[in-house]
Amino acid sequence: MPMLTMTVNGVQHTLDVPAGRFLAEVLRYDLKLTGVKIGCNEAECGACTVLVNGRSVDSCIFPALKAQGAEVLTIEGLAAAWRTRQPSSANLHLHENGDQETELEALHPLQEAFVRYGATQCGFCTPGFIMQAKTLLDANPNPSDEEIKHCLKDTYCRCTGYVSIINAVKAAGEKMRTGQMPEPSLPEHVEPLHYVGQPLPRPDAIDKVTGRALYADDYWFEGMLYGATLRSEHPHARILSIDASAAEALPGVWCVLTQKDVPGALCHGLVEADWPVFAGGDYPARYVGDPIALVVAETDELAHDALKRIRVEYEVLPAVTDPVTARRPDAPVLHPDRPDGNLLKHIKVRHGDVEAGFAAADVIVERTYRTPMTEHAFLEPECSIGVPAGWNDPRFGYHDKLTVYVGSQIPYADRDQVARCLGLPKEAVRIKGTVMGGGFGGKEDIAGQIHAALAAQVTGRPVKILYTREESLRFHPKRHPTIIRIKTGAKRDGTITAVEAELYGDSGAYASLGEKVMTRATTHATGPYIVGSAKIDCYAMYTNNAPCGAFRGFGVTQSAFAVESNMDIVAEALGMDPIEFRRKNAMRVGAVTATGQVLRESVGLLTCLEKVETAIREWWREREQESGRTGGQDGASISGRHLSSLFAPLRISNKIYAWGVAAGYKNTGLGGGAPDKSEAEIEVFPNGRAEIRTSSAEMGQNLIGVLAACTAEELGLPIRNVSVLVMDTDLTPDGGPTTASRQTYLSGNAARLAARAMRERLQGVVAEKFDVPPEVIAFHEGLAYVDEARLAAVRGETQGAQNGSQHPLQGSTATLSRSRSISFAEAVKLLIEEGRSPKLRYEYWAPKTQPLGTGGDMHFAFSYAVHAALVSVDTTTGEVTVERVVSAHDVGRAINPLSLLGQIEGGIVMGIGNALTEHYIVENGVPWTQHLGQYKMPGIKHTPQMCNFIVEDPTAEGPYGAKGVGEISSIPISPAITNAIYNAVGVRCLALPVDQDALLLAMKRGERELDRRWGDPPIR
Amino acid sequence: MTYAFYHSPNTLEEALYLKAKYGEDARALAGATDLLLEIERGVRQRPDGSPPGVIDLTRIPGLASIVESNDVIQLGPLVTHNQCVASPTIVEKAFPLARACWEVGAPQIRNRATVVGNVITASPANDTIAPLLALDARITVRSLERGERTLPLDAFIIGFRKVDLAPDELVTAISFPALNERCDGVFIKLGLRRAQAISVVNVAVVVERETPALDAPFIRASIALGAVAPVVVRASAAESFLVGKSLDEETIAEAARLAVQAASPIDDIRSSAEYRRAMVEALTARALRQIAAGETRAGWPEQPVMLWGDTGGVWPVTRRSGKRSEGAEANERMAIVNGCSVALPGGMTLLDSLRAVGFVGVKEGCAEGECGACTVSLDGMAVMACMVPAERAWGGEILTVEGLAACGRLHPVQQAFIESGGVQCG
Repeated sequence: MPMLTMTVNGVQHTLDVPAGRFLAEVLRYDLKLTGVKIGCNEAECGACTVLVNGRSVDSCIFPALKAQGAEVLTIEGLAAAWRTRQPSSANLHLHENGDQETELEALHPLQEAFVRYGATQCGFCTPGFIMQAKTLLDANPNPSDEEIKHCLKDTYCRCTGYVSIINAVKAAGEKMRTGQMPEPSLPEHVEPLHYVGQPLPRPDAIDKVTGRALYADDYWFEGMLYGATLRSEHPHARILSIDASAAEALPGVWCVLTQKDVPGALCHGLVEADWPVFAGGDYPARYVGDPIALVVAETDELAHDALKRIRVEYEVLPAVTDPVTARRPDAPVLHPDRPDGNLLKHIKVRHGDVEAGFAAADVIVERTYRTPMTEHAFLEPECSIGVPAGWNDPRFGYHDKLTVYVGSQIPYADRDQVARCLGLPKEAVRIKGTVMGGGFGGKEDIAGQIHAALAAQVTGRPVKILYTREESLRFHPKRHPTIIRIKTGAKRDGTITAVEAELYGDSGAYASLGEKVMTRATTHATGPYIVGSAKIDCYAMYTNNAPCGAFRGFGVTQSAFAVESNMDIVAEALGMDPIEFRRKNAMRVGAVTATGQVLRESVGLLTCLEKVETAIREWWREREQESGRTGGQDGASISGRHLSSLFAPLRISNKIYAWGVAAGYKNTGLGGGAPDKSEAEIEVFPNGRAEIRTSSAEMGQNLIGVLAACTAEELGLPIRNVSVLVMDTDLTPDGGPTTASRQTYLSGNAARLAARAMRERLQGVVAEKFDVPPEVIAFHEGLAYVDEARLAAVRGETQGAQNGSQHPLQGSTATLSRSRSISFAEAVKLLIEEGRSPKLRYEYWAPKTQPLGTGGDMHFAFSYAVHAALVSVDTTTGEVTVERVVSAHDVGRAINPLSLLGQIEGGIVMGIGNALTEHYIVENGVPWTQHLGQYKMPGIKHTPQMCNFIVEDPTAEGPYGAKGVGEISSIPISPAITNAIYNAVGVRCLALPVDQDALLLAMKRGERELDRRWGDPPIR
Repeated sequence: MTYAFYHSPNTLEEALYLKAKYGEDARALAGATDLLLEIERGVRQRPDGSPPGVIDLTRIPGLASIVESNDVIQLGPLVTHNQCVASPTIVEKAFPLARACWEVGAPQIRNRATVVGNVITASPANDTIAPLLALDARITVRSLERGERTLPLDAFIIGFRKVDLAPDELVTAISFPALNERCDGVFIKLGLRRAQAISVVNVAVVVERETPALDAPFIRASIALGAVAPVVVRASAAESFLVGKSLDEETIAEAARLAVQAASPIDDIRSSAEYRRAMVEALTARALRQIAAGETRAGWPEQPVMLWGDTGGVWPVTRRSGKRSEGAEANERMAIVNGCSVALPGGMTLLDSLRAVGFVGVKEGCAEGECGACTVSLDGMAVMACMVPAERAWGGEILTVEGLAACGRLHPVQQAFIESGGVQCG
């Protein structure tokens, strides 16, 4: 093999590389520089960006041999390369025990800024962004927004929405220029406690900006084999035979596994076990991603080569690829054993008398909307590694049971499903979570977990299965495309009297979470409004498309588009302002939802409406002032004109601008009567540290930061002394699925209450030592002490607080007795000496909910949001640009405002994609979208200016009043954009994503409604 | 494996020799931003369906230059998009090309992708083709056997993704007349937010006036339209309409209408034909308006940030040891092998030559550059000795595999670097 000599991060390497190897592979797999990420392998996402001789390249398509003699810099070498250039580096002492501040100071300013500004979430894209941004700052440490966007325009992030990235790059530039890094600015929020409410950087941020964080594909085991999956070529076909002999004959191929090799249950599934581990026999392939065989071989390349040698004989069956056809009696049936043909579930909401409601209405609006199938496009493709029981690895130790390393949203469900399909007891399987490069709902179902475990079991070796991006796109469940007919009736005064809706959801080939998703679409189909009556029917249908399941918003994204579009149409028909119309009907405390739930608390919708309305008004005022100053020279000339509406169009040369608004709400937690709980374990240590453990998933949203803050708050420990362990079915108790915006509430509470129980336990032993009642023992900054004021109060004395020996503490009303305090570490030692366990578990049960149709509380909390978008429509090209977004989110309580802002910004940009760019296109059951390049998610150039308000209308039971935010942030934005388009050019878009061609033609032809989206067949 | 073999010749002659030897079995590789993916996806295959090998041209000195002489600008085959953006010559005298290069892809791509590569791919949506066509560019190609020929760009591109380039030929230059002070030009592209980020329609316009005054009548107008026909086309009706005219709103509108005649777009998933036609009209009008107003450079960054460190945008072709031995001419047959001066016989491959003088450690595996067993380092770059004429090594420095390994040992400074944490996961 040719020899490659290059210098990587200052160290010269000479190695044999096969001619076809790419630089990313050499760096990752040969040099183990796993900070170099591979997101797409087609130079589309930028995650693999490294510098070769100072120039940024996508290393995934850079032939390794082209780096002959070159200097390569990766994220791992960045900090050292920076330090060597700093004159002060000699004085820098790195503390072994990692004081975060010192560690941050030692990093490159970009790394530091990404940490401080929350610009790293799942972290998978972070190395690429930092390396690319470095080239910009090296050339120009004071770049404009435009320059930053031009530099990073084809580097993709799916979590942050890019706002924090832009801010971080600027902050890093400032530090390079001035030596000082500015503080990030945050929206107003309520007074923080010690840790809760503080905008702290993520606990894992430094690992993520230095390339140290280990994602599943960053693990290697001695003797590891590789698996590759053969998938169906047809949307619906019986597997008649599989001839794998040619593949098995290849040297280096260990085995080819098919259905006959599955020892346990042949199907898996989160709700219904209808999804075959391998198609075959009684289980035909039901979509083009269905697995048929798994090759296990010495190398990944070999495994993929061997796939081509497997011959499958299919009997092609007729396929059904849209949900309406699927409901016809003559449609081909996917699951003949089911009672209702292709009907997965008919979901109904009945509320009051709709006929009477429509009879009382002065205005009735009925439209049919369509939403696209969309793709999560998390930057890290799925990867599972199965390790057999009894395997000892020099780096990762002894595995006493069959273990699967995977980044998964529901580790315990993975464990149970792996065990079931392998015919093992649950206890014989362990799921060990790795750092996870995004999920958004797309990593809830089984991907390669069962295959990897099975292959490990069969071969007795660790087996890694890494999906290519193409495979990931083809295989994993998507967002349900829906067809929603909705009819809204309102009286002249704006009161909504009735809503009738019919939804068709394309659930694809398997149940996945389809029923739950479409239930949420149905129950939220009246919007966050009090409606007099409602009749909603939803049909979740099986088809031969990719399965559809969980995706941020969980069905509500779809119905909100229909609901909020209709709201604007009705408001216009009534001659009402869109905000006024919404305010009139908005949910508030005391309101009853269409499912019969009385809202008793925490309904911040009216405040959200008010914040957004004020912000838009302010924008107009500034606009008028500006135009007054310039004498209306920009062509806008609105000065002096009475502003008739906040939503009036504004023409500036060939563009028309207008605002649009929409509201939304989203449940926190599973609801619908499902038992909803999370369990956390806390352990305190005699070195003064604590660890909180739960299996809940960290996928970029900073749950670990939330858990750390809750724990530190309750124990009065410095937060750096709290570690968090998640996603391990052996070491962490079940936190339940990370879905439904539930983990801050559920696992946050579990952590808080576990820590509180531990605090009470510690209070007991410390109280005994000082001979005081336990409730007067307080904890702060790693000390346990007698709170003399509280003691005085308990003892009925009143003047204790004036005692001179007491010192007030910052941010605390408690007072500290110097003589009567011990360190937290001492307290733990006392506890252990007393023979009491330093470890306890707390199982938190969320408030009980009721199933749909029974009335009562279907959910224990809802989050609310209002989004307004300022769009421009180019009247010559039809291009739509989202220029600005104003949002307000009622989240109960901001546990970490920095991470919260990240969730909001990321959700909004994802919603912009849903409205304007994203469509996973399938033609007759065969995906047209095969590469990431064919799936256009928003890039940094799509990022609008944002102004986000946090509304904190607390819940009684959520941790410190918090409720969920993960999903609501991407819900109202799509209809806010289409409402804005209507306000600008008078064309109502009834289908997403908006097709700019069709929009332009509609504008030219004077059409008022547009039912076309791109990907639809062209109009002749 | 993605491609069958990899060669990295050091001279154009060597590259042409390889091209002649392999023909259809090898593809020339410069920026490698498209080709390797195409090979991987089976778009570029040998006649028998197997992946071709690649001949990497980026080690050949002198191919990455932008030269202006006698009012003709010539781009070498390794000139990247970003080099054009950074070149004062291109910005001043071929602005539509600079603008097109700036609009292409991400910096990671622009740093590597070459203009010649963009032209050879010959997709009608490729951004640099329209400006080059409007600039009346000519393509020079060369083969070992037949030497050089130069042809106009529209003759070079013979169809959808097809070019007039024989299997043994390489493109060696693109040249076009420099625009003078009476000329102006602009490039406008309309992408969509969806599907692939390639142009839905792009338009390049170059005009020449009688005098430099903005309202002077045109003596020449070139309008090239991308992504509206199987190849990039010139809007000849609109071009001839504009000659002798100066621009007013009516003339612009009529020229834009005429430009649509040249378009024969298709409906595809990116756009409808009707929309593309409408965009030809809209973009042509927009381009002409910018020219009329003298605003063709609006929004052009004064100092585009190049993101290429201190390399000047040129991939180094140099070898680690740097210079060739002095006096190589005098000792033509000499080369330095593992530090010793050796006379190498010519008329054979370097492999045979090395073995003939006793370096039997160099192994012959396949004698066709496939197996790499014969790899040696020639002037700091790995070459397959079985593929290199021995003559190429005269005056050069050679390290055999054993020699390389010795060089691979870490310098004490580098060792210290590792220990001080310079490498974290290494």
